[in-house]
Amino acid sequence: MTFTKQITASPSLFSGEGRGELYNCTKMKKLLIIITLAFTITAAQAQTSSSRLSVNLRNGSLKEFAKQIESATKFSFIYGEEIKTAHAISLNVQGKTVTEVLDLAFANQPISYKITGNHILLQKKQPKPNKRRFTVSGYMTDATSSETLIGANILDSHSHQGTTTNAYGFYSITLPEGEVELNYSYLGYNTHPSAFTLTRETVLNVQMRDNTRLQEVVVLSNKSESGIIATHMGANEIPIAQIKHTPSILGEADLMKTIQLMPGVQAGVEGSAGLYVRGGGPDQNLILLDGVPVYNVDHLFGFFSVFTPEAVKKVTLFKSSFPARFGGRLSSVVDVRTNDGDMKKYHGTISIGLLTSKINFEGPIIKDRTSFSVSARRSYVDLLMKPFMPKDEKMSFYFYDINAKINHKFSDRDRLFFSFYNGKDHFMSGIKEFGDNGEQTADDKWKMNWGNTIASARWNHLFNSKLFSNTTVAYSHYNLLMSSASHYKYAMQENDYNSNYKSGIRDWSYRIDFDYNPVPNHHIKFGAGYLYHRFQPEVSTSRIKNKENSSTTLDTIYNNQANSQIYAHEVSAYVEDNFDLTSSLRINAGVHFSLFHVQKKSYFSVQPRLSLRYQLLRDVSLKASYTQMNQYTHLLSSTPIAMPTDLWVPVTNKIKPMKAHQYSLGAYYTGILGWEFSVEGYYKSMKNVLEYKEGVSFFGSSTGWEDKVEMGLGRSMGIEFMAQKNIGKTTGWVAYTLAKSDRKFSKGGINNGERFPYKYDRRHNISLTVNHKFNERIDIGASWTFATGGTATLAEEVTNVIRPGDGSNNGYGSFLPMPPTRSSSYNYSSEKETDYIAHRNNYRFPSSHRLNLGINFNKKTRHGIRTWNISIYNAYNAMNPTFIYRETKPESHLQPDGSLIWTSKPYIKKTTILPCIPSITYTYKF
Amino acid sequence: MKINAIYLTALLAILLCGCNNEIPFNLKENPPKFVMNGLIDVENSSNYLLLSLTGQTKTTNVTDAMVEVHINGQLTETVYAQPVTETNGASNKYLLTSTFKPGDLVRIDATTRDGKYHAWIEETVPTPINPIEKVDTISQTIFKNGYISRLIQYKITFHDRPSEQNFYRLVMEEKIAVLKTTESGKDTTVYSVGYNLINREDVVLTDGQPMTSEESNNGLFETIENKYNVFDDSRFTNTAYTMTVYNYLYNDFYQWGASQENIKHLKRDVTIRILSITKAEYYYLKALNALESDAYDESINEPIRFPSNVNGGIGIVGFSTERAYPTIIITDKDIQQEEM
Repeated sequence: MTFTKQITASPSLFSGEGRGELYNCTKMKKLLIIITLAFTITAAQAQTSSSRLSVNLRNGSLKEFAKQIESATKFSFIYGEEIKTAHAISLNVQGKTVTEVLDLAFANQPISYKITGNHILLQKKQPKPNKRRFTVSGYMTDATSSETLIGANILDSHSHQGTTTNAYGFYSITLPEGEVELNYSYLGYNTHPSAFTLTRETVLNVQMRDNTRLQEVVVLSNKSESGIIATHMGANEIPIAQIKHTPSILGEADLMKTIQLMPGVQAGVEGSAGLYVRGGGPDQNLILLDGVPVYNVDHLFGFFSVFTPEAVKKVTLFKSSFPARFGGRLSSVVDVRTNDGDMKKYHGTISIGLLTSKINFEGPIIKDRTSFSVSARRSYVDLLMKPFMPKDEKMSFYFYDINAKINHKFSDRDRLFFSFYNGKDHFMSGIKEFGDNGEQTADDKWKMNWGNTIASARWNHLFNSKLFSNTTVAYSHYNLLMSSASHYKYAMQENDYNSNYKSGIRDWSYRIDFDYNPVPNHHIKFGAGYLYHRFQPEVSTSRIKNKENSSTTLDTIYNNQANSQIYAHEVSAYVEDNFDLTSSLRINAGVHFSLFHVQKKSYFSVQPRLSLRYQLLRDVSLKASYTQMNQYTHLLSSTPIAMPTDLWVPVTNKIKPMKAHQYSLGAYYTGILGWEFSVEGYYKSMKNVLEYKEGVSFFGSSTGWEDKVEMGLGRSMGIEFMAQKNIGKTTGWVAYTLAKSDRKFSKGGINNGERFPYKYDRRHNISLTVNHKFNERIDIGASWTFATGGTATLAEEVTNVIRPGDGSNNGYGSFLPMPPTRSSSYNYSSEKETDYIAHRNNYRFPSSHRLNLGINFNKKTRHGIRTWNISIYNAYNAMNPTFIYRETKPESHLQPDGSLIWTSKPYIKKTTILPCIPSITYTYKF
Repeated sequence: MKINAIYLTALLAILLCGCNNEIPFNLKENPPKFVMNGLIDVENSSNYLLLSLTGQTKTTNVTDAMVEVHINGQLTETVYAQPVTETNGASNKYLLTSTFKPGDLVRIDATTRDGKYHAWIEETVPTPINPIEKVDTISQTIFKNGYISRLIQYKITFHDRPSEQNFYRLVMEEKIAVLKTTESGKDTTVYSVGYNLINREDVVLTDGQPMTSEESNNGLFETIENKYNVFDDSRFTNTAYTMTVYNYLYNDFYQWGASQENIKHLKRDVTIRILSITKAEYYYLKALNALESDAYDESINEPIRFPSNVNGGIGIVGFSTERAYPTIIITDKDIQQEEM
């Protein structure tokens, strides 16, 4: 006997005590049985749940399924009308028991069943109780030195969820309770697996082992904020090993010059360390040393940067989708993190090169608790020159850098860092002259010192496994001091002259940042900061003292402090969340708020940041981003090279903040083992960019600088291709950039309102960097760059300029036979020919290209490794122009009558200051 | 202020060995531009406008143009080029005789005969300052070029024109008359006009960087001299200012052929003039300061592009009005007393 009953029951019927009544459902009034057959039954009659039957049902309803079972067995179904399938039932089974058939049929349906006697009772599946979630958190460190690892990966094999360590090596991941299998990985280190049952909040500090660490295999580190995995785009993580192995001038490994090899980054003047990122100027880069802004990053007029590679742990360059935690510059962020210091043992490096010598030393103060790291570098061309200088002449130049850091670990929850940086350039000259009769002496001295001092204290605190904080108090000071002293003596007359000139910028800052991981899919960062700026564009003091017969005839002090101090307050706050919207789509959304207050004027801005990453295929991802950035400070610079006299000035009542909107699209492919391919396109529009007005860019003081500059529009666009090989004996990258950048000012203003190319608007850029390790003893590095020319302003015509006839302060007029009157001819203006420049940046430099080579000979010694490095900068001696200018030379023209006519023929003079330069460096690591 | 390029180059040359090369410069066939220049002194009844065309290697005078002057919308004169004379020199001069008054809106059009070039300017004639309040003078010795020299210090007090941005130029005009005896024994008087003044100690004229000649010559600091003595009122907006300048007590009169022995008497008239100039002229003259300065180094600095206020062409047409301080007369008697 078979029967099917459908019940329309009141909810109470399905409550616990009501269930027994279901067996009497045949008596219920709302019973409905409709079965539509679309199947065949070829099974033997089965009377028990172990009886076997065959079912063939295609896209059948629940009724159809029940009917078929009832037809083939003695069972009847009992269920209410709220019992519904989520989707049609399709089943084709042979010789299965009723239980097996029911299991298969309801496997993915919200229906459960119960067999009682000859009845099959259908019920709604009760939702399973939620699994509890717990957080695993801790620090990832190098097992040998306890140095924290930034941007390392943590992945759970079970849930396929992952995270990365932050800038302090801390990670936090929330997972369902139960079995977890965490894999900790960092390129260059062995993967560290950790499997356990997660039943509570867990702190797990992981020490990563690296057998080949001393050999420094050149590999790119894991990329938490760049590459295919990251949501961000336009970001490059520059491995320190790569910086150390990229050959450079005089063997000086240079962080900024390695960054210049990245797509979208221009070098500025040939050989300099300046950064011009995606059409932006050198003041549009936010250079952070352990989170503290650095204003002057140059030594020797921009040809070397201030960062000592030995002191640096990690460098990340952001060009487009800036995380919301960064603000204050338009074009790039260079985030430099320094070594914390070895907690286990003492070791260091000594390096002797042609230009500088360096030492780095680190180790524990209290083992596993407190460590230090000290690096110092100094150039010594002054010491080498000293023996060859004449006795009465002095001239010297040197620069140095000192980095120091102390790091104390109170517990797994609290950690304190003190960092200090001081770098200086010093330039001095002096001369003593004596008259023939010994009565006259002249003693001139002048010197110039400029550099940064940065000090910071940071406190890492772990509130709980999901909330990490970093608090920073910092001081940053860039200062230029020039002084000049002269003493002249002639017979009984004496003159003393002293002058001092100061300029600089000083910041005090406080900042707090939080990392919050409340749920597995959300990585939230938020924080706030306050910066107190003191701009000191120019302060000059002069003293003149004259003596005659030992009595003072003049003693005057001149002060100019009208523009000496400008104070400004900058407040910022941000929040960003990195989260998975779907399994393929990850989003980083954030907003940066900033308020700048200067000279009783406040500027407020809300800067949205959005990055999207879509995982198209396993090895292919697509990204898009939009960012807005604001900038409140400007660098006034009148020469193409970085001069210490360049002045940082804030926005004012008249000069508004610069703004940039940047849109980017990109695609990334990692289908070939060890390789990463990327293509990124961008469009950046800039507002309120500054340029000097016509004819006022030269040597002007900061006084009235607002009247000397004009605000305009800028735009840049381009596409960047990059292929990187990250692992193996041969590593490196090749990058190609197609870019365009220009500026436009108001009608009647600069360039008469016509759009003109930016100074470093180079259309094509190629950079190729290769490192190859032959064996443990020998490795080589090479970099080749090619760039089409930037622009320069050169005169192509001559014009007449008019000079006032009166008051030109240029001497006396000629002899006049009559008393001069107002309308005498002397009073009229006169003209003279001079060069005429029709447009700004109207001339293209020739293309430049350069090959740098380096080879390292390593040898293990009893106490460490010694390395001889031989580098050749500009190996094939390409005569790339550093400066160009127009000159003329006379040219004769033979006339038909045999006479000669002379005209001036213009030509361009090109100065190359960096031809082929070999160098040798000795390094010993212990 | 800048670091002397020589030292920078020397420093780099010590570290690295650089070199210079020539690159061919293929000049573009740019069409000539119409150049209109004029610095119009409102106090003067006659002023010149100069017209020319730019060229690849030399300029060309425009001699066939017609110049029209409109003041406040009214045509006041139509002018053609001055005929070539020994006195006037180049023939691209167009004599303007219109009377300009402060506040006038002036438009000057220049068109070549063939109509190919047409350029024009429109400017408002600036208003002069109130009369110069006072000029104090004192004899002063200062050390200059290794020697102590005796100079006259002028302290010139004047008021800024209120409620607007103003641009000025200082002119110190010295008219010198020398009575001398010629070789034939005949007494004769010769005259000269000079504009020498020393402004290096004044904050406004040095744009906030007063210094001595030693400072500007000692190699570390090189400053563009404010040769044309232009300044704006940003440092004394709506207030009074006392400007400090010097000129020499003695002058080299002997260059005119008057040896000390045959000078019988000399007299100097010094007139202080403060000119109100247009903004365009102010920036133009600052650029001219740079062009004519030794401190400008074109190998490191970009070439100077002159500001222009000419529409349809290039060049500068400026207007100036002035306040002059009563003449200060110094005779040889005064000089002898100072010498004592």
